[in-house]
Amino acid sequence: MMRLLFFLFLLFPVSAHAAELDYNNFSKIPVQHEGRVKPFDSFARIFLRGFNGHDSLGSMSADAWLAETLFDPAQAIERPLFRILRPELLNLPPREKKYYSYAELAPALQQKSEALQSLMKTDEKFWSEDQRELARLKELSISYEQLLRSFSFLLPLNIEPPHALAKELKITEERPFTLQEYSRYERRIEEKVRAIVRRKGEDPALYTQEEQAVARFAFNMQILREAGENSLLLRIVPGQSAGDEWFSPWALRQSGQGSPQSAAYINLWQEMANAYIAQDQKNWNETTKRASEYAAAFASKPKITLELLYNNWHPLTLSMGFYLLAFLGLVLYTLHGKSWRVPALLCLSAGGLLHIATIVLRILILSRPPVGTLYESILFVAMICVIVGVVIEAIKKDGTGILSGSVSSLLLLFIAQSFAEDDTMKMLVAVLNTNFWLATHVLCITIGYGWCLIVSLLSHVWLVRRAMGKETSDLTAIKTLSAIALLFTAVGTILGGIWADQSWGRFWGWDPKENGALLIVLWLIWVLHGNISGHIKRLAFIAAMAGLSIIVALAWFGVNLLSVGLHSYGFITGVAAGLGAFCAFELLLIGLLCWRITQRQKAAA
Amino acid sequence: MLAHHTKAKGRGMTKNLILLGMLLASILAYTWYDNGAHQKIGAETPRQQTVLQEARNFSSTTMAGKKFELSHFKGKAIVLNFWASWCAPCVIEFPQMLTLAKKNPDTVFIFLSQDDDLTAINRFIKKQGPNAHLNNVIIGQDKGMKIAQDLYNTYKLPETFLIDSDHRIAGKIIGNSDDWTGPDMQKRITDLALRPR
Repeated sequence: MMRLLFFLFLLFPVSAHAAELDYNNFSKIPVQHEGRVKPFDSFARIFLRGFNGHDSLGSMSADAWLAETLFDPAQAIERPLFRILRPELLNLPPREKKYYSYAELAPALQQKSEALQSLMKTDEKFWSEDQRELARLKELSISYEQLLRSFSFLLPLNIEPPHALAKELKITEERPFTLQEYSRYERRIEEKVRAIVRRKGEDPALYTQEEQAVARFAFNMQILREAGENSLLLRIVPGQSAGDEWFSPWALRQSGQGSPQSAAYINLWQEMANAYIAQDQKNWNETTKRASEYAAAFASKPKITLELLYNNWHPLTLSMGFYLLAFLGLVLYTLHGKSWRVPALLCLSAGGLLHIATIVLRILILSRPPVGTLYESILFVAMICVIVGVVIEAIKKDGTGILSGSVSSLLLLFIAQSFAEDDTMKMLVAVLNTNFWLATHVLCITIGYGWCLIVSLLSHVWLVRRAMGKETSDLTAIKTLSAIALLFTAVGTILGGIWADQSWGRFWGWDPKENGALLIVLWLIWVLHGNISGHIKRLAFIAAMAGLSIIVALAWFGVNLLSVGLHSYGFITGVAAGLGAFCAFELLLIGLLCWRITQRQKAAA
Repeated sequence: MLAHHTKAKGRGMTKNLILLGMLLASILAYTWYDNGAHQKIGAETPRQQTVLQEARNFSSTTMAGKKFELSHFKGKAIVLNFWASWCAPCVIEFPQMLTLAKKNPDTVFIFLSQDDDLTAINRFIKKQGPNAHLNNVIIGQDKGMKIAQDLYNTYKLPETFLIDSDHRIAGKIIGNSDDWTGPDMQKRITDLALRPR
């Protein structure tokens, strides 16, 4: 069946691509996806990133790729789109770049269909890595098929009705034959096929050539229609009112939600498809402009503009560049003297401003506070680290702030890259979708994480300097910063309890995420009080504060790996090894530094 | 010396507390603003703001061979029904709609059939008795689904558009309604004619 569906894409003719079309208007067309309305550009990037891990396909932009997928499926399925890291799983030929086309993937998946079917009946928890990869590829191919068929009823077909049938039903040849055209005659053709079956049975060998042609034609059309009916991804048709659910072209047909307005809009898409197929620049520009203007009336224009700005501008990448420059400036400052400190601080500040701009853009686009997902929490914590770093540098003027700000943000943004693929700026699950608690509990906790990381980093600096026999500052700064970290994490944890009480009906349930938050608070209280009471001496205090990074990493990422508790929206997989390595490295580093300092102290004594 | 140190420490702490207070205040201010903004969006509910869609004009021929256009009935409320004699739910609701048409002589009931065969339509009409020949009932053929599909984006049967006297679409009934003769439907039909112009 799947093979048949795959070959049905070949029923669409391949269009000639002469000059590159302008995708500016096309990229602006609003589409509803994952619960919010976004520009086509974002939609294209999300799917392309899912298929091949990038925002573009070689020299082809995401928008150009989407247009080809929608309007020229026969060409699209030949493009090496899917990044398949273990092609041997599907008996695909090994390839240096590991990109494969749908035309290669679909038959390979077909061969594994039985294995996949039995796999789907088992619990995901027990899947091996290979099985997970297989299931992932299957899921990707289903999404891709939906995109390919989004307009399958509008696109001209490579096949035509048998001549005699066309003559009998007076099927016009003025317009290109589409599934939409077919639906005008569908009932009569089906009646004809039923009559043939009544007369001659179900074996096509008994039919005349003409009857065979009619039966084959009707069968192909039926398969094409049935396959298209499941295409629900491309929700481009706005509902009747601004707040209503949007429909994919096929869903509109199926649900009966059509209206004169949607009919005109679908006709516009038909014109757009024709312009694309003919590579007619003028009509393409005109139809894409009209479509973006029509649907924009049902969306927020400023949000669409801001999102396009966010997609094209990449402020976060720019800020990473500045952080790197700040770090290099710091190295030069250490090697060549004071004149490099100010440029380094300026770079850190410029990066910080771009980072803040990123967060502000996301707030405006999503209409909610900046932290709702793990990825967003990393971005936000990195921003806090930079702000704290700049403030520290402005006060201390010794490079410490630049070091802590640039290193922590670079490390965090580097980690964030692993989660960036899943960052589709989607709407949050119901329990999280409350601006009050996102703006209070979540921000408090993440600000606390930021302070904790700065404390840990400064403690590392202290340990390294002391281990190298250099002068170190007193502990006042670290104590003050850790007290602030304690305040934020403690208040955040209590606010989380109140939120849990409102959402789940209990203040505290010893859930791993709750325990993680509590762990940071208890760690800080223990170390600070131990130091004040004299039980924890200076070196142990600094070592414990340096180890705060481990506690934060466990509370932030580690508890999500357990996949236990009510915080299911945060569950993650695949970072256990990295987290374990980080914790081991930190323990080893802190241990070695402490050992070295003790040795020095002994030698000095 | 110690006193000076303690004083400086105290000043630092005060500064930190002020900073913290400002941060918390800004979070609270944002939350307050944000909740307000959402309430505003809620207040102007899009549904209430909806501008009703214009009904697209079309021309067709009655079974008696008389040409008509939707625009001919400007000023009158219209019930536009897409049906076919082979569609079971359509067959069920058709007589009920005729009963409703009889009760509402000022509302025009347009039935557009997707039957290809005119005799099938005529045979069906014959079975409906005198109600099918009321002055406000128009039965025509939508050949090749040119009106249903191309102008009204309608693919499934039956579907009915409720069009007010300004020829704006006030509602749509997807599938058959079992309430054509009930008080709720009567109210909707009455409201159609009464909609402020």
